[in-house]
Amino acid sequence: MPIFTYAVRRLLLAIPTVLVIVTALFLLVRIVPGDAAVAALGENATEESLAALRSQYGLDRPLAVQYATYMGDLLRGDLGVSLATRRPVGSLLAANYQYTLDLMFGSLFVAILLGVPSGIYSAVHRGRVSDGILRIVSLLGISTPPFYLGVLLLLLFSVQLSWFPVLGAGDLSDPVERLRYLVLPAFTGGIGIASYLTRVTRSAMLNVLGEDYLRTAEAKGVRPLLITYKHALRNALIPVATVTGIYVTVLIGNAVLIEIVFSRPGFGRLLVGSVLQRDYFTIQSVMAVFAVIVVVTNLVIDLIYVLIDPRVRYG
Amino acid sequence: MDDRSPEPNDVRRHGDGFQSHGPEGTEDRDMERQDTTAPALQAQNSEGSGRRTLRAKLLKNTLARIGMAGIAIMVVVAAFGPLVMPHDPFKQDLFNRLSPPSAEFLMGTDQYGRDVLSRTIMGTRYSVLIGFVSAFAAFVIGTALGILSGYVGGRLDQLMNEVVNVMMVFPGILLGILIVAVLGPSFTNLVVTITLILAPRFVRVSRGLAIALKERDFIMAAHALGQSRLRVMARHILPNLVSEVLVMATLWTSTAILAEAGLSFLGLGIQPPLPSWGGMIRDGIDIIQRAPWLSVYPGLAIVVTVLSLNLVGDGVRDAIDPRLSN
Repeated sequence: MPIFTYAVRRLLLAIPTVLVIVTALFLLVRIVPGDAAVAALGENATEESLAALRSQYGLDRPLAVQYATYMGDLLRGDLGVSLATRRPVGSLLAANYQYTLDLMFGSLFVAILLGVPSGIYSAVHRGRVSDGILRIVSLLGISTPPFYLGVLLLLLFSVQLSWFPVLGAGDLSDPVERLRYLVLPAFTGGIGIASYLTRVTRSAMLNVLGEDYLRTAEAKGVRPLLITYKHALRNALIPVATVTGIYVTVLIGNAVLIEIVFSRPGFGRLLVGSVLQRDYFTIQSVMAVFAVIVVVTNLVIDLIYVLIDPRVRYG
Repeated sequence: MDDRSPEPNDVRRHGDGFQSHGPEGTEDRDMERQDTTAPALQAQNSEGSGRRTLRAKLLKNTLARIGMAGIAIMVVVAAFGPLVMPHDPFKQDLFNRLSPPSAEFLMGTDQYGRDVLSRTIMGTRYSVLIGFVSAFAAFVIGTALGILSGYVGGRLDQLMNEVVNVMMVFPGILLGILIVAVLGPSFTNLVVTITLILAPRFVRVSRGLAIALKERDFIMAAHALGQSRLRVMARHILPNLVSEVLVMATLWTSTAILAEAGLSFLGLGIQPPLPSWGGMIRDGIDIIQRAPWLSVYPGLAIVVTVLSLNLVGDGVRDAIDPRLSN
């Protein structure tokens, strides 16, 4: 089966998943204790104001009608109106997405930059002191929650050393400022995942280094450096790539926590803010967007996996 | 009785090194990607009674021993710490607000003059309790559903699989935020939430193991002897997969503790004035330049606990599958 057919088939398979999630989100918002209107206006709201809000948001209509409207709106890209700010959720997301995207790509960059070389180094120097230190550091890295790591980095680099600004995200149109505000959050998100990548890369390298074809290469006189970096690394990177892909979804979860630590605007702050304000329509739409991002990411990873590993035949 | 023969697990060949620690169930998704029905940690050693050699290997592993000691200390602190803590964790002392660490207040005091050490000790009780209770609940519920799903098969299995897949699309913390948003933040809801985050992982692992076991001769024999399906599940399937699932439970207990800390950090977990590690870190952030001790010490408690659990998890994995202990 050609890769294109496979991609289309996977895409078609992903649609029901998204549909189920979107439907589940719709139902969850409707089973909230009290209801979304009471949640938005508080327990002491008058019956009239509640009724007005319900009719404005269509909450007084039959469930099936609400569902049809909701799905129709989603298909047209209309994400509804926030209960708390009365602004369209779409415009809230548009105002925030760049910050979250910066953070995710920044973290991923740091994770790969730190994680993969440390893993290779650790495997090549297996059993030495440096390997031991790297293993302990990476174990610490995976045991430190990102929001706490953020606090520590903030204390050291912003408060003590004043290298980076303490809070916020700066002005997006100024690239230098944007980067200065991004460095600490990106390291906060990246270090944990770098620690996983170190472990994965190390064991993948060790697995490959024991393979027969490397001994053959050695026997026929290929230089050791070439063996490590050409023959071994190329094959070791296959599982590393998969795992990196998997951690992209983790990055999304961590971004929520990191945005709170650094008071950075973004999807995560938007989500947590709307949960605390009990703004259920915003929660519903932000989660739907997250779901689409995660499902699409998984799809892309699967395709990359098939592309880089000839042993996998479109399963 | 050990029915596990050493399975050729080259299916998982390059999946091996990263079976542990996926913070958000990544290991399972990875397994899925390898498209294997062979369960995680299949490679139970074939020689003799696995459990005894496992314990011996674990005790020989220095890092695992350190981890076990760490867990023991945290459990003792959770159980008895509140009896011996230096101050009342709830008592406000306006004359001693934001005092830096000193002989009287070893970890300083917070905005209300409450002792950070005592609050961290009290927080240990909640974090450890919630972590263990929800991991255990998820283990019981998830394993039962997984066995049912894998053993009965058919429509039920398809439905269960669909539910698990949908729940696992979201990273744990996002799923947690969503559930708390619906249920509302409270102590009980926090346990329910974390159980719901973890249960799908247990379902997935035990389902895979149950499917593999179902085809074995000794299960067929039990059927031929006329044993009921319930009996087969409870007496033959469960005992043969429980140790493997327990290994994952070690790792996922640390996930549970991290989830509690994360949700409490976001203000969606344990509600003030009850102290929780995550909530204390959050309280300290706004005045981190003036009083860093507010956030630093509770965070250390999280790191020690999670690190200990991870060390034991690593040790158990290495003991079960020696090929991985490089």
